[in-house]
Amino acid sequence: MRSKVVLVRHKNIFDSRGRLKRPSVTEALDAGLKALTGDRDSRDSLRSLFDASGAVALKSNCLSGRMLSTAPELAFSLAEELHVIGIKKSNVIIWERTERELASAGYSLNPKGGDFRVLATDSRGAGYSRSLFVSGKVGSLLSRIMTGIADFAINMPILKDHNLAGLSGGMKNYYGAIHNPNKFHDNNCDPYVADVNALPDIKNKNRLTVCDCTRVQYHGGPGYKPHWCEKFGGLLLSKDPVALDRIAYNILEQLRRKNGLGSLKEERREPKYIFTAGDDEHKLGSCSIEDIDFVEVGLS
Amino acid sequence: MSRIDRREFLRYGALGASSLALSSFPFGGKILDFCPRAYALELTGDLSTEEARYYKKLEESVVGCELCPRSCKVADRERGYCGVRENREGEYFTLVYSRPCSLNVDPIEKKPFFHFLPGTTAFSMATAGCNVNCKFCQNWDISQVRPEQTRNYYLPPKELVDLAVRYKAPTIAYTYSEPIIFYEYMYDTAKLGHTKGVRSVMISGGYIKEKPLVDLVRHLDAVKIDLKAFTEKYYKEVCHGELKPILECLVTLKREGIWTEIVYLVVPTLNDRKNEIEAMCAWILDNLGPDVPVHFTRFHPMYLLKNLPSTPVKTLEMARRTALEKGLNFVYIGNVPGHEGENTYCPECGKVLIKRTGFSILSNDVVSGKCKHCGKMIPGVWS
Ligand code: SF4
Repeated sequence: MRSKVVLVRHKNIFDSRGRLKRPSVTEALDAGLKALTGDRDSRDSLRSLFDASGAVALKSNCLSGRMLSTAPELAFSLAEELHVIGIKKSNVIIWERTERELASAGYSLNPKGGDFRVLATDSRGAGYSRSLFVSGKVGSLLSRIMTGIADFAINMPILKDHNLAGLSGGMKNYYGAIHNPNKFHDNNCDPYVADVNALPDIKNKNRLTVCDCTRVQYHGGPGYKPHWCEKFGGLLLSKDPVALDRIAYNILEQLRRKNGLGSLKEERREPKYIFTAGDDEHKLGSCSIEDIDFVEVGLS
Repeated sequence: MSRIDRREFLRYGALGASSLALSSFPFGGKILDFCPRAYALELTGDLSTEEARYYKKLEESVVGCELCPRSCKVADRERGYCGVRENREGEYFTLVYSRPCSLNVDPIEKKPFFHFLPGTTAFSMATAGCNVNCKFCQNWDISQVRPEQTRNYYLPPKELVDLAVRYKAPTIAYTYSEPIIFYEYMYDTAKLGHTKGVRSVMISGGYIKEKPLVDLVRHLDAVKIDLKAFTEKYYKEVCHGELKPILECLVTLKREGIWTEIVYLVVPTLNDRKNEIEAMCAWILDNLGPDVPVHFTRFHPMYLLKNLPSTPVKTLEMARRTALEKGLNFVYIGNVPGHEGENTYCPECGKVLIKRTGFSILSNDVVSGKCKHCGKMIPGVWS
């Protein structure tokens, strides 16, 4: 089966001070969702993916502070859309590994609900599973946000270079759901990223990836390095986590080339895990460009 | 913050001491009941900010850790493999200095040390973290987690030494997880302990670089090394580690003259072949000599190796026999309470020198470091 990946780029997504404009972010998100599912209304796109009675966990990536994390403007735009299709606000959970990381990226914590919930695995009442989950070479405790709270998940990574993995995009973001990510960085995180994403609570619950490419760091990651960060003004969307990372890999390489850097392969940091995730053992999605319909949408 | 205050610590400590026969001390990784869900929030921000030793600053805020052979290159905001060392804007920090998660008063035989102050206790401690990931780890709930995920206490070296003195433990044992990853804490405590007459022993997998090891052993009194197998394949596939650096570590320990014992956990089908054990014993004989005690201990299904049975006692007996035939003088069987392989025998006259069952000493005929029966010097630390 073919997979679809949508790239929306919005020329007018930053204001004059370099901050994201929320209406433009929402506009880009809507356009991306419609292009992804073929619906005329982005709410129909979301209805086709999520049951309104369920809880949806939005996994952000907030490791690198305000300038290189999943933008709150994007996370809350998506949260609003989910609410509009009938999901209770307290059933929309924006989350990360630690409260400290969320706060550093500009999120106000709201672990209890009443509004959209913003919480971390280290929030009181969350934590990790008590039993181990094993997949391939990975054995880990999983965030209870994924095992016990969420019925569905949306992965909301950012796109950046990673000194060990090569690329940190969608699948790598779920390292933030396990208790021992530091154990799985050898061999450019291969096959560990694929194994983590094959854990049933991730594989079966994750319905959508919305990758924040408003800023893309093409070198020097995972920490924020402004001189290697480009205002890309984009969002990547896909239902197929492998296909999304495959396209993200191309984008990262293009940016590296444009800026005079060698390829990840030349730097011996090729994100091999993307191809492992698409292999016959993992079958998590399409890793071959030939099997991916890549749709670009331009907004201004 | 979950830091236990001193009064509470001593109150619980007193309970622990009164129930010493059960080896219980009601806090610590095992005893405190590992529960990341309950503790994760309380502990955020309460990690140590002690600068790590043995690292170098590389380009673009990356640091290169030089403590263990894994040689992690760690980018800003990331941690090394062990999960307890973090790069913050190009400086490297240990997060577990003075932050033990497990404390206990154990018999020294539990480490196991059979030739080091038999019948005494060791004030035993660990922090979260480990630099390998053995599929059979019996303490994975502290070794394979980050320090945010354990309940940690604030216990600087001086207070740790004071506690050992208070509990009349002649020795502090750095144990349970992997002490190498809390190197700075162990080093400072061991050094301070010597000024107060408290000895220090390290129970380790031996995955450490030579320079930090040599610097450390000046302040240690004994080391127990888990030699997990004698093939690189096993180390790679079962432990996510390497064999060669462990052998180098053992040779360094021998050269530095520190008392060393070896444990070999015999895992059915994975490292229990006679020829592998023979090869290991030959290597020990050639490189360390015949007097290093070797403990063949029994595996029980655990962590990521639940699909294998416990080691048959006859396999352990085969391993012991093999080692004795190869010429090693002190070979033990562990985790089989009451087995004759728990006893120390004089290599000269063959008489039982130390009779043990489990962690208890039933009789001890080593007098002034010699066999009471024939006068043969018995290697070890006896007083
Ligand atoms: S001590 Fe930890 S950070 Fe340092 S090299 Fe070893 S595993 Fe890596």
